[in-house]
Amino acid sequence: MGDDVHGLAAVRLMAEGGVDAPPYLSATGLTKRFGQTTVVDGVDFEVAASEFLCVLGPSGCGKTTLLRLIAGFETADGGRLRQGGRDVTDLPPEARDFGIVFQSYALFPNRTVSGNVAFGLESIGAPKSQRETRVAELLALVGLEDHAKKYPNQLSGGQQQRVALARAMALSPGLLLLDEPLSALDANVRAHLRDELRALQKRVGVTALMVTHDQHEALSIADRIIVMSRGRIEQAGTPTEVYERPANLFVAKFLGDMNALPATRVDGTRYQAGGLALTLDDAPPTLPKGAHLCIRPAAVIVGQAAVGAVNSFQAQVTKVTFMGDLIRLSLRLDLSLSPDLSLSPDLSLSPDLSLSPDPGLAPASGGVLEADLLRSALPVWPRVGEQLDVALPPHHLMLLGDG
Amino acid sequence: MAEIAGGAFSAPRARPLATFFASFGLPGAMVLILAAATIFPIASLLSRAFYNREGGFVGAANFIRYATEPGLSIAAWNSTWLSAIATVVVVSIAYPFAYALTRARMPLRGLFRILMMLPLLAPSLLPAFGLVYLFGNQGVLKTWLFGAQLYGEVGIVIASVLYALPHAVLILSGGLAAGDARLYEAARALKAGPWRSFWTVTLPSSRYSIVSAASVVFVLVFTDFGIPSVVGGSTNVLASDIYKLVIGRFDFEMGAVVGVLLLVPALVAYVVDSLARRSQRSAISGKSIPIDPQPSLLRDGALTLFAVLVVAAILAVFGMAIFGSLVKFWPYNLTLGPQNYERLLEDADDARSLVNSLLMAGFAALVGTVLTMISGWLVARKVGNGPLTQGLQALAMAPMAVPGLVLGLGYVFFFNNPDNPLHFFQGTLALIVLCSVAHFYTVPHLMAVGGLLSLDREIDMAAKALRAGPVATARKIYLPALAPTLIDIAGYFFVNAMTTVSALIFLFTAQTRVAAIAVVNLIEGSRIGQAAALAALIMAISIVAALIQSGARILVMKAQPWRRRST
Repeated sequence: MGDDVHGLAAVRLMAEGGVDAPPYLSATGLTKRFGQTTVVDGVDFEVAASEFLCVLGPSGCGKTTLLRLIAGFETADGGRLRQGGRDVTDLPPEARDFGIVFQSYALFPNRTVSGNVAFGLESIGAPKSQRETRVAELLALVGLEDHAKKYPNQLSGGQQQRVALARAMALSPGLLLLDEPLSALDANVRAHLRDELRALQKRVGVTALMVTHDQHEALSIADRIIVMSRGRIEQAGTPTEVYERPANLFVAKFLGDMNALPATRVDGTRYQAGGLALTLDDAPPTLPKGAHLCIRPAAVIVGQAAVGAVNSFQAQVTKVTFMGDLIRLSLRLDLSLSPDLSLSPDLSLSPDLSLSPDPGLAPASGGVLEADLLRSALPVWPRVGEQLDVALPPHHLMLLGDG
Repeated sequence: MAEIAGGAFSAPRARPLATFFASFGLPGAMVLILAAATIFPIASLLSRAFYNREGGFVGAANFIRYATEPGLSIAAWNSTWLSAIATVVVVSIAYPFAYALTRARMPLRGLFRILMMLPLLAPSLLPAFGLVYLFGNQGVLKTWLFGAQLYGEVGIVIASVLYALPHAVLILSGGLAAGDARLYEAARALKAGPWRSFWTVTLPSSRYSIVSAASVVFVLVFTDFGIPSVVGGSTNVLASDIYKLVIGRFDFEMGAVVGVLLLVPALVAYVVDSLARRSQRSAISGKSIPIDPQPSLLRDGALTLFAVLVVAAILAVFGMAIFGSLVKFWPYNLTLGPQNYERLLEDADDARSLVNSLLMAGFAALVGTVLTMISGWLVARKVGNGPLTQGLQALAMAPMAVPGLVLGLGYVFFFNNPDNPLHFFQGTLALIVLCSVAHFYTVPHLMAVGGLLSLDREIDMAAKALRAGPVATARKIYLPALAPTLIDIAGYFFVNAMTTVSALIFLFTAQTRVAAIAVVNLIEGSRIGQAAALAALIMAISIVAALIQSGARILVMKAQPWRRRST
């Protein structure tokens, strides 16, 4: 593993908030422009040794450009990048210390599996015997010992991905860069390889930086996540931090379904949102710009448990969507706005109705809430038009700005 | 860009020299080479058409003189209507032939395809010789023309049809092969019979390739020099006029005017063709299902009979040309013997022309392959400065729109000018190589771009990340992966340089004359037997080159097991 010191001890140190360990990779004010467009806009972040960092964001947010800046395939227009104690900002890719796995894998089609893995070792002039040992080692690491003589087009997508990983690790880089490495795979293979990738990274102890647009992938694989949008970092934190305490509405919505009701403050911890008066556990001293009260659908309480709770009210079911384990209810909060409901009860019995909601049920203004209920916890299905007790627990309510 | 570069903070660039070379140096050099080889000569020709002999600007005076001088403008009219007739005939034959290749269960389709492509390996003069031996004044089947003269309109049209047919079949079978089976399933589901399907689905969906084929054929016939020089008789066409005006009368101004007249339909056809191709691309979705024609005795039988007749006609004409070259003394002594070949090779000038041809075609293949790979790489990988790369792509596409005669005459005006710093090229074999490469540049350039695009761009980055330099990447990845493309590009340049007449007719000197030009000189000396023999030799060399090309491809496939799909 080169001469960088990054054992598991370093991870533990960082995880426990040890401030003495210098970051393995750090960017300050990193900027990249294409013509008039600023794609990466003064980005600052740090990655600890042996940490698995995910850069998460929608397409076009600049995350891939950030990865290419770290690799040296793009030159920065501003800012500095330090890796392993040296400034690498102006170094070409071949002078940096990283291995990379591409979304397309970019395997050399004319080389066998072992020929692909040996390519980097040939570049640095490693003797044949050493190359063979190292290739065997790496193929064992990714479980492809039996496929050494095959060509890339004889392998499945998952196997190709493993070859790409073995090839990237061949020169024992200090940093492993992963550019959406799982996005070209089937869902089943993807979940399996995700766990394998994470285990392998922890076993080898290499610092890893993965770019992805898939929030489930990022949440399940990363030690820490950076959420990007329009070239800037919206939030950096552990998966639980960014999911449970999102910095703003963008992060909250990008990481999962979120109810967001435009909110105004009444006084102290009391707010008006979607025609409801709601109370928060602790409210910030100032109202953020474009303030919304937010709650994840799974945190909404529906039925008997809601009766008499804080922030409880009555709402009407406008749509029932069957999603397998979960039943999603669409609820109208402000019953006074359109009290007239002319729905034939026999039709409302069928959950299939959710596919074509009656336009008459569309709310006149704001005030729509989605609630996810566990299928197994529901004795009877709620019906469209039915009025239910609903509560929004204050400790799950978040006050977020949209800026 | 400018105000950003001058902004508050700009990090120093990595390896400024290498970056500058990749983004400006290499594309800049390529733009200069291609401009000198195509656009500058064309510009010289265009400007010559608007100036008098003394170099004074005369506006449209040269064109007015062309239109009013007796006997000159008749050629423009002849060229137009003869090309139009040939185009209609070619497309009417090529469409059912292409249909038989792609949409029917015709037996031996591969063989029919190869035989149809045979004329591509010969100079356009060769079928004309075959016609002379068949229907000429002393032809064996002279009576078949019902008293009509071969020399003139009849000969030009028939020879042009044979010459242009494979081009049209290539384009049309490409268009027909790309059909979507689901459209036919939909038509059947809606109770349409085979005829209704043909008129409502097949014909409309192949209209773009018909337009494309028609425009290509029109320009080929309009600008071909070889055919009228053999069977044109006293019928003047533009392509033979420009030669007479420039070589016979040294009237460069009129030559330039005719050059412009040749260029105009080629430009129009180029625009029409590229519009048609663009529409066709958008009409075919990537998900279309290939058509697997069901057997039909009537359709397959009729089409096979048709294809046999067409191929028999091609073989008869080409066979007759070769037979004629082997006959001792046409038409009096029809015993076979190599006299024509012996006398040809005894003539030092003619023998040297064959060596020149091999040298020239070999260098064209080498230089052309290197240049197209560089321009293809710059365009496919977009490594260079944006406007320069776009300019390069435009320059690489331009030769498609320029007839060989026009390019060659442009070379005369551009490189003969003593003020041109490139004047020293004039009269060298290098200039002929450059002209051949430039004339045939577009197709190989597109082949190079296509080949490079089939290799993922991330492969370059993967190689860099694995510390491989550009040389190691080229040797270990690019050369083996692009071997078939390289073989095809070199073969394309070789065969086309070997057979072209029109691009080089103005450029040769006694020292640099190539075989295809020597054929024209032999006709002018009325040595038809030897001319046919030399044209046949050119075709033989092209066939050998094509066989080497296929052999090399097979060897590559053998040596590179990764190209075979197996799991």
